[in-house]
Amino acid sequence: MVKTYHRPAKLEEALRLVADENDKNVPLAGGTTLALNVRGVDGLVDMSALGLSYIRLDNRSLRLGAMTPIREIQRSEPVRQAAQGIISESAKNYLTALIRNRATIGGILAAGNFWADLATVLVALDASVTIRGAAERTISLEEFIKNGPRKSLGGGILTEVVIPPAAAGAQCGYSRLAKVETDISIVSAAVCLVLSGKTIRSARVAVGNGSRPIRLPDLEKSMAGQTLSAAADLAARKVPSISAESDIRASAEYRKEVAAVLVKRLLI
Amino acid sequence: MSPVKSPARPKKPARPVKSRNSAAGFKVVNHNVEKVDGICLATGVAQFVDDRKFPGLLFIKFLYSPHAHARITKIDTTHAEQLKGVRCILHYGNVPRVLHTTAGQGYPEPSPYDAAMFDSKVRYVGDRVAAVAAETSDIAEEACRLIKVEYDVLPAVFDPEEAIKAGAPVIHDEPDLRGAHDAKRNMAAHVGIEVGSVEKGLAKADHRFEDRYELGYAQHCPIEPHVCITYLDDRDRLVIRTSTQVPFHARRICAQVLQIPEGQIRVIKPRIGGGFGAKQEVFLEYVAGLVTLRTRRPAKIEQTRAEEFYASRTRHPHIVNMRIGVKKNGMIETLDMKALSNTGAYGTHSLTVVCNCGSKALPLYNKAKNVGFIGEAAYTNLPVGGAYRGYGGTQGFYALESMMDDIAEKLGMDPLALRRKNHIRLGESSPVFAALGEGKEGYDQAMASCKLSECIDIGEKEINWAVERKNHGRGPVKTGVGCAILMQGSGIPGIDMGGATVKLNEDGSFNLLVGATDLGTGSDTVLAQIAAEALAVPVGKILIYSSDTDFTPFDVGAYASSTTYISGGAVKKAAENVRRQILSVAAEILSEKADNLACSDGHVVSKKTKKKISYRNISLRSLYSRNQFQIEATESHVSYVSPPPFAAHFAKVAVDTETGLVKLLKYVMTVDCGVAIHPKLAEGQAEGAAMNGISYALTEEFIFNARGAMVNASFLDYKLFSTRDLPEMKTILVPSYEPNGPFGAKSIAEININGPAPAIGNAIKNACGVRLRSIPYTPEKVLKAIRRQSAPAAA
Amino acid sequence: MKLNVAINGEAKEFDIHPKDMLLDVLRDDGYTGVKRGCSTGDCGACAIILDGKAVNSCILFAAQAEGGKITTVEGIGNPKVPSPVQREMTDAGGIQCGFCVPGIVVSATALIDENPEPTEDEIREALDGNLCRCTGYVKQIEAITLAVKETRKTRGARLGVA
Repeated sequence: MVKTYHRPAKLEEALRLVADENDKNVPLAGGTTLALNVRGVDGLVDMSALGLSYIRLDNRSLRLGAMTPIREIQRSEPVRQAAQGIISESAKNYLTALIRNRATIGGILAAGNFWADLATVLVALDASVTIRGAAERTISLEEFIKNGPRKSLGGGILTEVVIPPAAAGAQCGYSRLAKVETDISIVSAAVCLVLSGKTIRSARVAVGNGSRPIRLPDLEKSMAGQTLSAAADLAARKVPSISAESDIRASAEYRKEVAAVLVKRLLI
Repeated sequence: MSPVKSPARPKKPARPVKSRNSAAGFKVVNHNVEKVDGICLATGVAQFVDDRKFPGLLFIKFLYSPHAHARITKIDTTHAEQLKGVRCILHYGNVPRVLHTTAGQGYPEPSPYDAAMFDSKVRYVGDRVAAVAAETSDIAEEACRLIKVEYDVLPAVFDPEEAIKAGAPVIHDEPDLRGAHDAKRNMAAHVGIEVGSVEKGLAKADHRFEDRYELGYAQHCPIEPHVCITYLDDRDRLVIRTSTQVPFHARRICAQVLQIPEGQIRVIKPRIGGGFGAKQEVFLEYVAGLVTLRTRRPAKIEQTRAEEFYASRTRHPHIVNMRIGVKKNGMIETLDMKALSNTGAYGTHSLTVVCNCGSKALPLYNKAKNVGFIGEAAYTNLPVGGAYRGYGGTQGFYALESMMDDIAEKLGMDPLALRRKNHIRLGESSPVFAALGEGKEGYDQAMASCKLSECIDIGEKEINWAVERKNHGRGPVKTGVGCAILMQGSGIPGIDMGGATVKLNEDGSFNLLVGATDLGTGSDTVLAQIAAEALAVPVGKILIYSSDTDFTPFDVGAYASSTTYISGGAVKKAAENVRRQILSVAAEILSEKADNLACSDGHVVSKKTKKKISYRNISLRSLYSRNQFQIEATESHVSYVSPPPFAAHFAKVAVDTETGLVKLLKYVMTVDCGVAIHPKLAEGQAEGAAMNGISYALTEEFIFNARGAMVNASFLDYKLFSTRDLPEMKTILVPSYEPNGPFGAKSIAEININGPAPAIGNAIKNACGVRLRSIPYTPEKVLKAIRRQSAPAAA
Repeated sequence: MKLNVAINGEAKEFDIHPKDMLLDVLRDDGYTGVKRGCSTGDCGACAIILDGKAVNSCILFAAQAEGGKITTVEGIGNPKVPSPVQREMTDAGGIQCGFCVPGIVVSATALIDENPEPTEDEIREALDGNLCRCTGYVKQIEAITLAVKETRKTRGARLGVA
């Protein structure tokens, strides 16, 4: 049961509190996930006084402080301008406005809410996360998701999400399938293409399978040099081989099938 | 078995004098007056059950069964009792066993007596094992975990069709069970009627149609969960402050289960945060009441949202087998419906809901000479059905109105033309009215108001039917439109009774005391308007107080679309009675005949001399000076007809044929509810009901695991439509005048929840040619149906 | 631990436990206009404005509000002087049972405060976390649209440009 509450003003203090093995202290961001289940948590380490809520355009990279609320990201002008607006658009589809006002980008990733469409989009955009432990590390979001938050964080604190600038003329698209707007998506898809004339020079494709984003490197490679319609055909064939699970929202088979439809449509 | 006979209707049913046929000239009625509790609600001042503090309040939590079907062999509360702060633990071993029904219905209830406060057998995951009252809810929860229960797990049955087969586990084997149709076969209820000959009719028909339709579990989801607080008053009477639709039934059922006289209980209903039928159930109040009686402390039960889903009440899932025989020219000659309801672990409302599946839907096409209906309700080891807005009508119209479109297609007719040819009209009746009522025989009635044809005409234009029917768009996303027509009723004829008291105060204001229960419906406003109209005062002069069993007359409560029609009838009578008393006092003062006097704007006016005397002066005289008496009246109202409101619903959808996603683009409702006492509130009733129906048609469902436990019991996983899902909505009230209703009014509460499932299903069919016969129309289900349809026929 | 906040303009100090949710603290202190509908942040009945943002108080640790400015429905208006949103919710038929209404009023007020001329889509987005089972939202959106106009008028009047 929660017994203590800390609000450190310095990151070092926060790190010391979180790292202390004797106390089961947990970093607290917006709290919208943590508040639902605090079993086994002794202490809360509120990160709100660490100056981690910001959106910065830094050398064309977007830097999102871990404590930036999702709704601020959704409505920020630089974010809207980036990647044809797909970061903003996918942020809007994170549950509800009342939650988006509290939930933070660092919080939802550290909590492992990888079902978020925003995660799919960020993987497609090759985002990375900065983790402060004994030292500062930066790893790709894809790796962070693959290894899971616990292992990735290693007792450290997620401080920043960095979205690199898209190549000049890159075309980005995002799409989702959900029963209602505020539901967790059955599937989501995001694509980022660099075109040269009518052919694809390079591509990044991520599919949210209902649980987490999956990148499709094989598909990406095979799309290079193809026309959009050829790439769409490739996607229709290859996307259904992604892994997916059945849950209350849909079956695995259905997810695979419609994920292909979403990716295909982003290409044509 | 044919339905139980209803008591004979009195020879001359009381009918108001038919002096008008429109709403013209009304001063208060048919106007959008300010909702009497509106500003208090908007500012957060209005008091709901849990908005008052009770010193020494105990918090009650339940221990629920993890098994779908089991006998409790041992229950050990030792550790729980030792926990600091625990004050009272209830379980089957220490409470009186009084079998009852939790259905808040009139007495004697048409639902079986198959529930005990706590039983030694549990019948679904979520059935109650024990309750703990403690100083905090955390302690109560912790104590529930400390109760040791040993179970003898029994085989369970989840499928209603399996449940009624020989050899299925018997869910209610208790010897003291009463009122179930055939408990050994898990048959909670059974009803059947036949008018003419269904089999002969079908044999003779030019075309025969037969199909099966399914509707699943859903929860009402009032935003305020069930909550009640009980305490003892100064004279040791039990006071129950509760979020109920049925305060008087709650008092009676609590008296029954607690084995104390009704007079020892007072039920108060403050503001209520929605009900939709969920709060027509009495299943928490007596538990809190017993804790209060045993501890002499106030006690509270507030259900969590999860409990609302798995441990309160739901819509009865139905399997409806529909058969229709039709002539080449489109005349429907034979209607046959067989409905199997899944009532879950207890039979609350089981008979009446399944009855209404037939009795509400089948009269719509009244030209049919042969009409058959069989309704059965099966016990299963799943959550408990209950009253839910639509109450069987939702299930019945889904089957009927889906099949109508298939008939139209087969005959090459426009679906609207087929409906126009067959639907009931002004002055007509249906043999179903007399043959099938609510749990027993009904009462014959002829339609004294019916603007259904107009509803169809207006909706047809509004949805741009002729164009949209043929325009499906290009690409994989197809658009289409569909329609459904509907009728419901206004109260339960010969059963529902409402009472009202009106009394005059010194300042010319009136107290209006009603047993009727405003649970958000706006009935306090509507009833105040009816009184104001009859008394010729502005609505601000009516001080309404509702639903307190100590202070207001009896009313069955808010259900069966009855309040405006039944309770409103009582209010009108009481107000008219008071008006006569006012006139007779004025006649004394003015030395004129009462006949020559009229009421106008809080005064009595002489038609001859134009002399005026205020209600204030009339009141002061009658209270303080001459021939003193309190000007007041209490009147009751029962109706032996149940005038149906009518509606036509039109949906425009876009179906993504590659993903199965159905998007509702536009929804049009045209509704004949007689004179709308408060048009804006009436529209609101229609919109709220339709949105609930839309959400049920497209997304809402209970998902169970193999053990029969619901796995999506939260608003995160059981999705309601939000503002972002709202389609373009158009509600058009089509006025009529119902001579049996107060100031021409009929009901509107339920009818509009019945349209979306068939209208959207028909629109999907129009858009992409795929017919779905079960809801919700989730993307995966729709895509599967599309795939099945486009698969090569060779298979 | 102590919690210092300003509620509806009034400075308040509470003794709280780190595990307490703000909703419980508020209701306990008499702000019963803040409702409990789900306790999981999914229905919005418990919405309040914290430092300018509408949030669910049922999944907000009370301690997180330290030093914050809180506005509840009671602070937005009262029956004698309702706010334009409260007035229009009543007049336009946006209220049936009214249990969701404090949350809706809060979300709409926070929206209009930061965006005086929201589009209908922006209204729908701001309200997407406030479930209402009674009204079907139609008249609530109408009410907020009217309140936006009303607010603009009164603001204009204050500036002398109406």
